[in-house]
Amino acid sequence: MTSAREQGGGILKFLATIDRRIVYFVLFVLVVGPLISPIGMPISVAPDTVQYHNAIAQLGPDDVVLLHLGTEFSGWNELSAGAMASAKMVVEREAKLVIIVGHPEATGIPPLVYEGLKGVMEAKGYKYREDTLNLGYMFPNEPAVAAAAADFHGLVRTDYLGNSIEGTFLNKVKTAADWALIIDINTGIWNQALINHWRLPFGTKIVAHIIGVMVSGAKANVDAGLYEGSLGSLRGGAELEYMIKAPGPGLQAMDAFTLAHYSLLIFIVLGNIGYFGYTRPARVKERTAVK
Amino acid sequence: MSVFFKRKDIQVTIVGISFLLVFIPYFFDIPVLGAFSVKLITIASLINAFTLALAVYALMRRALNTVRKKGRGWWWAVYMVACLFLMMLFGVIGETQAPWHWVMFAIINPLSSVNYTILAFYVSSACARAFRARSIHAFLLLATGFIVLLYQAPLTGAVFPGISPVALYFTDTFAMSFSRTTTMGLTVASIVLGVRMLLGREVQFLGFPREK
Amino acid sequence: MVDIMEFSIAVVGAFISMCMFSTLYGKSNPLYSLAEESYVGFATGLVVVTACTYIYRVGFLGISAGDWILAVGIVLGLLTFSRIFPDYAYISRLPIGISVGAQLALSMRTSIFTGFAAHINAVIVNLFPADAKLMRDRWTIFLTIIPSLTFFLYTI
Repeated sequence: MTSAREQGGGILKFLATIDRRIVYFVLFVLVVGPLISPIGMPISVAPDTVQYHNAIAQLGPDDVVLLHLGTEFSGWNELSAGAMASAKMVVEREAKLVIIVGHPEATGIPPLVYEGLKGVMEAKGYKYREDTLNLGYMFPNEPAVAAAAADFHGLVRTDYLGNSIEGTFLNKVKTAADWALIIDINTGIWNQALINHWRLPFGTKIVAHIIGVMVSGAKANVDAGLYEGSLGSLRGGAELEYMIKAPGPGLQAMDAFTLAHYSLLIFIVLGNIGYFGYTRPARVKERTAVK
Repeated sequence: MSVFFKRKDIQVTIVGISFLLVFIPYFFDIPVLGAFSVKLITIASLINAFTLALAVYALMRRALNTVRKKGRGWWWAVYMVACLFLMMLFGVIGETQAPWHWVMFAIINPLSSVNYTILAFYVSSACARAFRARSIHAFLLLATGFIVLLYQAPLTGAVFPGISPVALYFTDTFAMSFSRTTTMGLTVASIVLGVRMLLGREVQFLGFPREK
Repeated sequence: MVDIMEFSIAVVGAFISMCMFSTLYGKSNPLYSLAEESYVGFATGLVVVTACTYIYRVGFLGISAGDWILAVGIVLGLLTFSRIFPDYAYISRLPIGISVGAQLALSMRTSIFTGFAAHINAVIVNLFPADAKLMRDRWTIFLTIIPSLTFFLYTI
């Protein structure tokens, strides 16, 4: 008797052994298509995003907020929507915004942040050195994060351009306790160091915008009281944009996000159909009799 | 003089002293020690920054080896070293100047982005080929993953709100619990490793051979 | 001039991205090697430049501001370069030992609280709250944590 494998298999064999390049091509088309021609699908807002939003909404004028960019350029593509929406919320509340960078690649990100905030900063009359500062790459390792928490001016003396920070609004910041909030845009770079050396000893509030794989860890930190809120991935950024009524790249990408997820689910279903229809019956089971 | 650096017990003692100078002031309020501790932490951050600069040496050594042996694709090693020195030259010219800006946004930004994006393709094809309901455990994994993935697509929550409580139940309980225990396990492991290093049982980081 | 700059960034960025994507086809090719070696070379240069900038801003500017003790950090940091010379590599043990000792202390003095105690505190809650949904969630977490902890216990 010939097995199903020997008989050929047809469509079921195709589904069971689908070429990965077909998966790549379909994914590519489904992601690029909606970006070129947006569809405008509705989205829902998760409770975590509401909690994150409420944590930033409590800021007031003259609060000093640290925007920590603990991400490479690669992570910035996933986190930029949420980061820009968070920074926009800070500026709308007239709090002081300080940008600090935790990865060499992220030194190119602050100009993008300022470019995106140009409109709202002009509307609020923000001036560099009076209302905002870019400190550049000052968190290369954990000891730097710890040193900045204990004695900020002992570590940071100039901004990214080399100008002294003496005489700016940072004069009143001595330790981590003097910061109202840290918005941690993070792909896993120094997020634990901020919790260990800013949150635990000084009680500095932290909200974290993290990539998808870190969401469950961040939920545990929110539940343990180490984070005030967490925002997950590009979807979280889009939800925050939706909440503050400032559509941006996050909302634009949600069509592609949705279609990519659905295509993945369809491939999983088709693969299982192929598995049960072709691969599993094709296994020839040999009995061995031992006396 | 070299005995000072070559004796394992002296170097492990230095590690221990450095440890105590940072550890003790955290729990006991001794002002002078506290201030010195902060300076020691800043010194440690400077030392770590120097080791980043050592990356040049590591890369150069590998590249020169490839070129010397005329290994496969040796010209790419020459090209890579040229890129390295070009970037350092642009850094000297100035990080706010055009050449630096050009390399950041024409080379590093796109390539860093693509590096990460390619993962999405690999993960998608791996999911499509590996997620099979071969057993009851695999079926449970598949079903849970299916529901959470469905919820992650924003449209689903908007048109079918009933999925939100189910998906959130999985992420806020099971996923969070396992993440929590993983964090606790890693914390215990890192503390155990730290104690072993302080006791001189793990000395490879100082360049000494492994304890037998 | 600026337009040419932005245009060239867009063109070169798009081209080199596609070079990197070519790996998805499955076969190695010169375009992928071009993208890969460009990234490694420029990214390493970036790391070196930013590290040197940090050393200048913290170390040298600190010393010029009167923080003379940071000169010790500069000297120790330079001693790490002795690793380049095999006959004198042992000298780098001193700065590495000081740095590792400090970092161990930083890690151990806080991680027991943030990585352990805080999470245990979060699990030890009232298992019979008024809200049924909350009770369901808390019991699920409680019943999940114990088996997953035993997993680590028996595999260490």
